[in-house]
Order: sequence, then structure tokens, then C-alpha cells
Amino acid sequence: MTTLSLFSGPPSSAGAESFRDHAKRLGHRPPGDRALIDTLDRSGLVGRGGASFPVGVKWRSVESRSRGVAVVIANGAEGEPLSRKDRTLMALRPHLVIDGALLAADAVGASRTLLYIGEAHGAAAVAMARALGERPPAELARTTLLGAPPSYVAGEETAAVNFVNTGVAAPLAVPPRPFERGVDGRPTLVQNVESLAHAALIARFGDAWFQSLGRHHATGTILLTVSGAVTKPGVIEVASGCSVDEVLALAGGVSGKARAVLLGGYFGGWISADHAGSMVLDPKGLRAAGGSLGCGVVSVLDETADPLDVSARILQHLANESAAQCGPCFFGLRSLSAATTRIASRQADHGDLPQLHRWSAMVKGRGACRHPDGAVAFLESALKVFEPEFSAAAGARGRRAS
Amino acid sequence: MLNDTVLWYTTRGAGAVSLVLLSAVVVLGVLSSLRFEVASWPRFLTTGLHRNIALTAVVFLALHIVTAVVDPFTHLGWLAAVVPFSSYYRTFWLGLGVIAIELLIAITVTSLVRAMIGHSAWRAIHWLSYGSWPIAVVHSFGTGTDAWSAWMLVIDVICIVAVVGAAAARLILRSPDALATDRARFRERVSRKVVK
Amino acid sequence: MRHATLRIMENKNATDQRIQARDSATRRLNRLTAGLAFGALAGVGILGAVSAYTIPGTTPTSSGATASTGTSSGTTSTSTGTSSGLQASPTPVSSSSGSGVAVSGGS
Repeated sequence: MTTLSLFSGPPSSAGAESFRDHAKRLGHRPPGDRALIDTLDRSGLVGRGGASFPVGVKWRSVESRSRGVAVVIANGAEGEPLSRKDRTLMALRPHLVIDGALLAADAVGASRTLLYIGEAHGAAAVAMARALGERPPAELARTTLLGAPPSYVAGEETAAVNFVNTGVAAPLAVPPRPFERGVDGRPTLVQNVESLAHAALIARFGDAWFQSLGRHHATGTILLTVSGAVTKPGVIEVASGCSVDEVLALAGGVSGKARAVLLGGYFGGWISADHAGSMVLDPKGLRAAGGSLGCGVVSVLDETADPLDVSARILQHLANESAAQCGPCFFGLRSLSAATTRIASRQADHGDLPQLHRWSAMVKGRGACRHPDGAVAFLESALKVFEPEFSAAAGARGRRAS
Repeated sequence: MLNDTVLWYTTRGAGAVSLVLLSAVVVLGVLSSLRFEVASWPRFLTTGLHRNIALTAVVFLALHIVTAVVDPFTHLGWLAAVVPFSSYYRTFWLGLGVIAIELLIAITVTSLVRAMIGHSAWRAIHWLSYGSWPIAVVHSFGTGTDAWSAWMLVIDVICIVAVVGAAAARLILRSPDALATDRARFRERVSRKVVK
Repeated sequence: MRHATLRIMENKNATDQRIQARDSATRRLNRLTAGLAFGALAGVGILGAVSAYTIPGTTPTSSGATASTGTSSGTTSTSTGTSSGLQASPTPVSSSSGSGVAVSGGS
């Protein structure tokens, strides 16, 4: 039932795989060149940081501008509060991530490689630092380890570039996009560490192998962080194209009765439990359908929990994570969060619920980055899935008053 | 009946109206950069009016130019409206008008496609406003048939006082930023920690 | 959690007022823009008339008739007088200013 590729090899209890074991098990790193980008295209690998953008396309956009001076940032900031998969991967398979980063650097013609790792992810950062120390001096010389601040937006790619340039991990207005002008004005590839680890294996075993890992038309495997009302929460690797039900079974099954599933994390959305089970987890397919697997968060909400309270707290977190660069994002998310909190604490004003709908439309697309859009998408999913609860809670006070 | 004198009057009327509108646009632009705001006048109203009046001004400038060019009395021709200092008639003063409008077109177009060109490029080009407006004023003094008539002087004085006043306010006042504290707090949180 | 909720409640009035102010400002912006556009149109007529009246000597021979029309319309009543006095030019203007302001200008 389980399909392992990133996590094949020694069990997780063995800790980080050493460079010697890694090289013995998988062989040395194959060359990173233009042919690898073509292979990535055929493999159907899409980014695992949240946007699910095709990896081959992204590498080529940097390669075509590189002139040998590009920069690669391996993004292990993992600011999503519900996600653990990146830090788990770095803690267990650091050399796969480093291999992927170096392959990317070779393929796009980068002279510098930066490993951007959440400074709060202790075990992962230690494993990566140790792994880098085991590498040949030539590889060590062109690779830099960098601590990412513990913030939701620190992993956003313009924020990562801004952090390297100025020391402040605040998102920037785009364009230019990092692949045009990033670190020191050079074309910069910012790629999630899981995507890089997949690339390291695709470079060794080919696109046909990667495709064979997936079910139906989905390709490869995906790392998921399963949390909430499940018996065994944690990070698991599954074949893409499998269903949410299978994922929940792997996590020991739902404890209690599920009300809804949060797919994709704080920037993802709620799906009611009735629809979630049969849902197919395919990053590429979900993206084509207008949805998103985000960064692979699957969180189960128990029926006894208050969905409004949980949603309000998530929204409050997102509002607090606004970089205060754009008024609509800062004030808009604050208003949305405050109104949701009022409804969740059953102290709603008469107009709170209709205003949530109106304000959502006003905030969307009004920020320099996608932060407000992601927060609004989350809220809209909550309003849809928990419609009965919202209506009851929003009307509760009005009825008492009249 | 399209009387040629009607065209001539329209050119002059539209020119004067355009000057008023452009001055209003500049004043509103300065106010928005100062983040001027009171309870009854939110900042959004300043920026919204700034944009809407700017687009209106473009329309009236088009009227000003088109009526001047098609006016059979002046025989200006289209080239004079496009290439600075190519007009036989009041070469220098009319050329200034052409330069002013071309700067304005650059400012308007870059504002409309700001999302595509990025904030810093837009901002750099928007600074040209401080060039375009004075050139337009000089053009109105030099070429306007009505330049030295009392009513036009009154309009000129009002426009110049308003813009110079706004520009002075901008130089003197520092723009208060509603988000400054929160932004600073956030940036502090996501900044590289200096470890000794 | 309780404390956090209470703190947000305090912010509520300020943010609500902000949003309501924006709503009314949007309506006011549209009214002001329309008013200014019409005002500018009327201004072209009035100033055109004034220019015709103040410097009659510099205009061609036929100016006398037009100038007098413009003058009478300018002095008797502003909006209706100008649109009848300068029938020919306002027509193309009102259509172009209308599309330039209302459509692309609206947020």
C-alpha cells in the first residue's frame, strides 16, 4: 500500500542517512544538464512548496537567463504551521536535498547554492549542516547554509530572495520575479526541498520510473503531514493519485467522527468529510482543477470540535502574518479575522456574516503578494463547508436580542 | 455646422480647463503621497480622484489638441502635435506643450500598466509629473491667445498657488504611514538575527 | 484565547468604521468624478465663450456672430446655455469622457 521513494532506505528511527550510506544506496549524483530539465518535464514533477508549478518549466526559465551566474535557493523555510514534511525530509534524507540543490545549480548554470532552512527546525538544520560537512570540499565551497526566520511568509519566494539580499524576509511586489532578477539581481531559482529531493531521484532513475510510482495519471510520490483527529499523526509518503481515505487509513484511521478535512494547510481549504474521502491527491490534477494540494497538509477536524473556532484562529494567525506592506492585506485580513472571531464566539453583529462575503471580495488581489488571496481562499472554503454553523452562530445573538 | 471659430474657442477653453484639471491632479497626487486623510475624506478618495481626474484631463487635452490641429485657421498639421518644436507657429511655446503632453502620456500609460512594469519603474516615471506640469504652465503663458487676459491670469494664479502650496507641504511635512509601526514590527520579526 | 478574543473586539469599531468610510467614499468618488467631468465640459464652453468675448479682435471676421452667441449663452444660464451655444463640439467629448471616466476609472 505504501509507496516509498524519498523515504525508502533506512527506517526513520535510524535518523539522518550519512553521505556514505546515501552514496552506497543510490550511487553518485548524475550530471545536471539541460537533458535533466527535459527529463523533469516528462516526469510531470510539480513544485511541492504550495504552488504546484511544473519544476521543469521553472528550471528552464532560470536556465535561459542564467549565463552561468544564477543562484539556487533550496527552500526549507516551512512556515506553514501544520506542515512538518520538509523538516522531516531534511532530518532524515539531507543528502537527497543537497543532491537536488546541486543538480539544480548545475542544470540552470548557477554559481551559488543557498540552503534556506527554518531556524526553528532544530533537528533538520543540524542534519543539513552535518550533511554539508560530509560533502567534498568543492561542493561545500559553493553551498551556503542560511537560517530562515520563523514566519509564515518567510518561505514565500520573493521573501526568501529579499532575506538573502537585505536580511529581511518580507515579500516584495512583483515583477520582477526571482527567476528574472533575484539574489544580487541574478536569475534565481527558489525551489522547495521536497521538489529538489524528487529531482535527485528522477536524475538517477528517469522520468518513466517516477511516473510509474503514481496511480492512474498522477506521477511520483508526495509527502504529506497528517494531523488532527487521526490515530497516528505524522509525515507519510504516498503515491500521488491515492485517495484521502487511503491516507487516513495509513495514519491509523480517524479517531472519532470527521466533520471536515483541511487540505493544503492555512492557504488551502476545508472539504466536508462526505466529499473528502474519495478525493484524489494529485498535485498536478488538483492544480488543473483549480484546487491545490498546497504543501501537502491533511488535517482532520473532529465532529466534536468547533469548526468556527478553529477557522477563526487560523484566520487570526494569517492576519497577524501580514507583513503590513499593503493596506488591504493588513486592515482587510484584520477585519475578516475580527468578524470571524466574533461569529465564532457567538457575539456576532447583525451584519458580520454578509460583511465577511463582501470584504473577502474586496481584499482579493489587492496585495503585492498572494498572502491576502490565500487567506481569503481559506475563509471562503470555511464559509462554504461550515455554512450551517456560520448561519446559526451569526444569527444567535440577533435572535436573543429580538 | 462646425464653425472654425468655434474650434478656436474650444481649443482655448479646453486648454484652460486642462490646466485646471492637471493642477488638481498634481495637488491630489501630492496629497496622496502625503497620505492625507481625515475621517470624512479617506485616502482612497484622494487616490481615486487623482486617477479619475487624470483620465478626464487626458480627454480634455485630446480635445484641446484635436481642435487646434483641425482648425483650418492655424494649419498646424498633425506633425506639430507629435514632434516637439516642429511647428511653424510659435515653435518654442507650442513645442513645450507637445513635450508636456508626451510626458503626461508616459505617466498615464505606465500607471495603467503599473502591475506589469513594477513599482519602482512606475515611481521613477511618475516623478516626471513635476516636469510635465510646469512645462504645461509655461506653454499656456507663451502660446495662449488668452494668456494675458484677466480671467486666464486668475486661473493661472489659482493653479500655481495650489500646486506650489502642495509641493511645499510635501517638502515640509513627512508623510505619516498608518502601517509604519506594524511594518517595522513585522520586519524586525523576520530579520536576520545578528549572532555574536 | 479569551484574552486574544477580547483584544480583537476592541479593534472592531475602528476597522468597521474604516470599511464603512470606504464604502461611502466609493459612492462619493463616483459622484465627484461625474460632477467634475460635466463641470469641465461646461468649463470648456464657458471659457471658450469668455475667450471669444474678451479678445474679439484676434479672431477671424466671422467671430462677431459666434462671439455674441457665446456671450449671451454664457451670461444667461450656464449649463443649458453652453450646450446649445457650442452644439458641435460637446457631442464627441461627452462620449469619450464618459467612457474614459466611468468604465476604466471605476474601481
